[in-house]
Amino acid sequence: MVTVRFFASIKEKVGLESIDIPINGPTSIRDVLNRVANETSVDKAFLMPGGFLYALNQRMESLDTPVNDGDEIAVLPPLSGGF
Amino acid sequence: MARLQKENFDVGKEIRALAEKSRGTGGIVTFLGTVRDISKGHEIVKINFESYADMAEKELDRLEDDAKEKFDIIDCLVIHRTGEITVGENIVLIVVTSAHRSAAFDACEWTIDELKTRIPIWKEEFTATGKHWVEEHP
Repeated sequence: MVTVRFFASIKEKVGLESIDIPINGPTSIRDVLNRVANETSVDKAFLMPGGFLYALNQRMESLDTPVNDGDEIAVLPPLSGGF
Repeated sequence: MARLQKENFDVGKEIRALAEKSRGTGGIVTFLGTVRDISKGHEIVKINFESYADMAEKELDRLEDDAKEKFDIIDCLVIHRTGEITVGENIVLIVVTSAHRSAAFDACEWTIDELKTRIPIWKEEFTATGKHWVEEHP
């Protein structure tokens, strides 16, 4: 099982704070997000538009990074911290 | 150690605390970010900062460490607030102590620029007509 977390504008559009996705065998962040799209009404192009960042266990990673059972993925819209 | 917190901070107290534990300090540079009253022509009522708190706290610590490694400074402190903040209130504070001013200015500017690209925090602006997430770097 992998937990996928959503924040800010993505959380509002997806309508969820997080979703658990069962995995079996070699899987990447991209694979998991494709599964999220299949299991929700969210288009995969929305989850992977090119301008988002992705974190795996609280570290920025690319979409092709492998994931393991128990991992946490976060889908991060463009950051806007600071003043 | 960096801090992510809802409550406000006392700028003078934070500067004094860092300076007191920074032996050899000859200069202190600070950056204080506050809530603007106008954004793109719209009057701001308040803003809300949402964070991926667990990651943001770790990244803020790494940011301080990276600043100390990259620049010839003594210490660096970063504080960022979350939650709802009203116009004019403090958002973010960066304090850099150094033996000489040049490194402190450079480190302070680098740290706020890096913060905006690395720390998972998002700003939601509330105006008289509605609210929206800010998804760009001004």
